[in-house]
Amino acid sequence: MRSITWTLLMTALSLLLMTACRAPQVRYANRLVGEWNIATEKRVLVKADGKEEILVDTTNVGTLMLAETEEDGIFLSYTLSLADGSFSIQDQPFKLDNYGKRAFFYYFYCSELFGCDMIATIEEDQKDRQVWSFFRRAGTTSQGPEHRKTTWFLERK
Amino acid sequence: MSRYIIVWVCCLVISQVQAQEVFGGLTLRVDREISQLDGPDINDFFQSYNAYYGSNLETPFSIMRAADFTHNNVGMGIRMGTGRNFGFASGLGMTYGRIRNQNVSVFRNGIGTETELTTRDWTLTFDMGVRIKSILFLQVHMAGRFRKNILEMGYRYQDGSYSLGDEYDILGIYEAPTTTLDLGASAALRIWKLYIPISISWPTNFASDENLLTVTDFEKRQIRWTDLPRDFETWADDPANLDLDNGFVRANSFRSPRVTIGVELIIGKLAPSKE
Repeated sequence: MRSITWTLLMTALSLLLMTACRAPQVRYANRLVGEWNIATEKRVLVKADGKEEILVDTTNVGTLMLAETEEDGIFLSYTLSLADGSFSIQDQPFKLDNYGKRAFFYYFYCSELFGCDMIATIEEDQKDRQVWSFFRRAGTTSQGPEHRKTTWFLERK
Repeated sequence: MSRYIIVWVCCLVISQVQAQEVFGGLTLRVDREISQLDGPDINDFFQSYNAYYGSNLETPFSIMRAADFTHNNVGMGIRMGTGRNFGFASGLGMTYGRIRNQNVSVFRNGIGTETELTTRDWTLTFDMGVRIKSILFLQVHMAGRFRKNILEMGYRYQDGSYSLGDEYDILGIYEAPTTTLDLGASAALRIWKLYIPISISWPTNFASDENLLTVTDFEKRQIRWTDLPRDFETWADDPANLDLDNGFVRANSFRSPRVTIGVELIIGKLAPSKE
């Protein structure tokens, strides 16, 4: 009888531990809190024939600050500054998807207008290094559509 | 009537437990779950996507087969029994399993639409019935099934880059839970420390939900519906006229009857001590 009681207790404890785990979304968000250096920005034109034309390849582009907010740990606040002073955006909502594959910059680049979000595809996700890519349509040629891919290589400061 | 049956079964259980030796133990389980879906809505999406792009597709999406959701599970639980040659048997367990199904279509311009549907199943099972000579177990099988369907849809560009971004509205990660209470029956053989069950169950409407497969995190500028459409053409060209009742992939289309064949290692004993 004692062994049954023990197994019942262990089962209940296991169930409790499983439900108490934090959502992956919150875990990813917590891990990203801090200041990141945009060590490299690489911008390429993906042509219809599959070749890449490098448009920009620069280092020390700027900084991205991610700070906690009070919204259940799902949203962070982002402050993005380019090193040359040409662009700065402060305290806008930032969010990761449930599975750590997309990063959302809400009100990116035009905070006064509704609907200027930016979504990154997370290519590499490590504690001190992140690689994020942003894609945009870049017109159509006779061979087919072209796309612009911007990749940020982030390093924790 | 059902209320009287439940009370009678409870009384039977209590009397069995009080009158006889109780034995049981922890179980570690692996099983194969044969899950047969009957025309999930997601095939409507694949078919309408193929039809919409027609000859622009070099490789269209393939259609998911019913057996594509069959997968393995692992889990643990407890089982107990009473009596000598004939007695009461019961078990409570939890299992986890998942399967990933990939589907790819490629445009003639070389861009690919890649989908990966991950189906995760947490299943809480409860068996109750009789045991005959500590070898054969015949039980009513009940299962709370917590299925989560996650569809990742991205574009693979000509240079191999993969995007889940916002340059096209259809891209994203869609998700829907499919929760059901399933009822069925199970039979099992106990051989030494192994318990070998086979069970079959069907989903009921009790505690079921009516979710849609919805993009989990969407950009605010998106003007089209954020639920995955069954009718891609209307979604793309005339979203205002999409059928709001049946135009989207419904989570309950992922419900299915299931047959499970497994083996459990018993840590403890599932037979009387003086056998």
